[in-house]
Amino acid sequence: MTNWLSKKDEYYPPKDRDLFIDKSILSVLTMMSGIRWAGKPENGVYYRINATLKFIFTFVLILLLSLSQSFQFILLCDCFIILTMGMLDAGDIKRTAIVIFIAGIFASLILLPSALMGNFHNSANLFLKIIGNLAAVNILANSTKWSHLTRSMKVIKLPDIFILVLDITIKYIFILGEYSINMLYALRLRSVGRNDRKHQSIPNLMGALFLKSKEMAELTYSAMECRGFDGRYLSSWKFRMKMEDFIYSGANFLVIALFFCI
Amino acid sequence: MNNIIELKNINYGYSSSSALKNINLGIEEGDSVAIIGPNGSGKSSLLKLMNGIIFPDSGEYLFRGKIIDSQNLNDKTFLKKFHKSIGFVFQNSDSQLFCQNVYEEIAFGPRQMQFSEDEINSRVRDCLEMLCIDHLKHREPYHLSEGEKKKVAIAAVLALNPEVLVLDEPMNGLDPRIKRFMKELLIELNKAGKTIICATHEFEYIGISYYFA
Repeated sequence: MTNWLSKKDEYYPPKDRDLFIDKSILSVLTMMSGIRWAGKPENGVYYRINATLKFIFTFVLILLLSLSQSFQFILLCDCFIILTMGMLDAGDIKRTAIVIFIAGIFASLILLPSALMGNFHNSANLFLKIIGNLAAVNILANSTKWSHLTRSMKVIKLPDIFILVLDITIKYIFILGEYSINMLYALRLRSVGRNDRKHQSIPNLMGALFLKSKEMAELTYSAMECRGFDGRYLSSWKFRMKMEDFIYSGANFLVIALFFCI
Repeated sequence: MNNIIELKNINYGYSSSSALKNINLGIEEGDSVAIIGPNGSGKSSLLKLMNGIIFPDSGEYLFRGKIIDSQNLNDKTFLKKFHKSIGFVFQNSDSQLFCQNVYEEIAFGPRQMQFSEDEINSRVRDCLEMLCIDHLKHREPYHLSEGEKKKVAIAAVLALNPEVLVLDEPMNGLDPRIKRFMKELLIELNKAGKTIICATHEFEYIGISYYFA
């Protein structure tokens, strides 16, 4: 055993800023908790609605919003979407509202010259369409489990292999997220002094993560081949309607009917 | 003798389950403690808590009599001193190794402590020799075997000369020869005055010198 290991170091850490490690940890954790907790059924009744129905009706609403020229219908549609947003839990409402707010600022900046030139009606329509579409997509993403969402894509006849790729992608985003969070923890635990080349650690972490993902991809492919994978994948899809699904469908059919009436 | 680590009525849980329930533990300087339990019993959570990665929902964690909580660890000087005093070897070595080669990996800590290049060289050389990985110093960490990665991870932590060494299941995935080597190394480190805390479920590699928690 070497001498220095038996003695205590007289060490006083010099001042250094390592906010970027904390910020990176926070952003990875936010992303991971988003994937993990999205669509938890206990969050509320809206979370328990069939994912396939939510996917179909969100798709239809976006389509109708894009096609409509009627200011009344667009406004009504936006009101309906905001009303559904009210059924989410506080955290998801906040997340969705932030996205809408930021997109709203950018959209209004882009549309401002057009509105000032006299195209106020079209600009207002476009602004409301952007807000409505973004809100609808965010509500769907925040209130539905990602695995249920990919499975529900079968309804628009997406090939099973595409659904498999999406499923694996989401799974590995999460697994690699856990790896990166542990790496950032390790970096923080070993950042015991002044590191002037702090930002150089990030490319190192990214490189290690890339190599890990490559290794995992190869292992997954080998494991799939060993289990008889020959390029075809069949995903099962069950469809059951509950009371909340009927109410949700009814409300959406009403909006669709209004598209043809207004 | 005063406790270097003291946990008082610690509770910690994830949103749907409780990982640690009313934990009380005192560890004196120079102790070697084995934390035994089945998978999912909260061993890793306890070690993360001891290293200030996570914080208890209730209860108190004291390191050398000072409370370790998010508020105190906001003081960066205190945080760095705390991390210097307690070294953590992760369960998965891949998460811990992020430098371009083994030498850089071990030199990462001493370099931050602003040692001279000679001192860094000497510490790295000593660690390489102690862990018998001298021949790996120019290799990339991700090309090493599991046992080699584990040795590099331990060397990288030892280079900081921590007072407490915390290891999360260090014997996982290692062959019996390396397991024996690790056991002997931990006993030697303990004899050199290091406090060793080791989470494991490998009873046969825990020496009689360990307290069981």
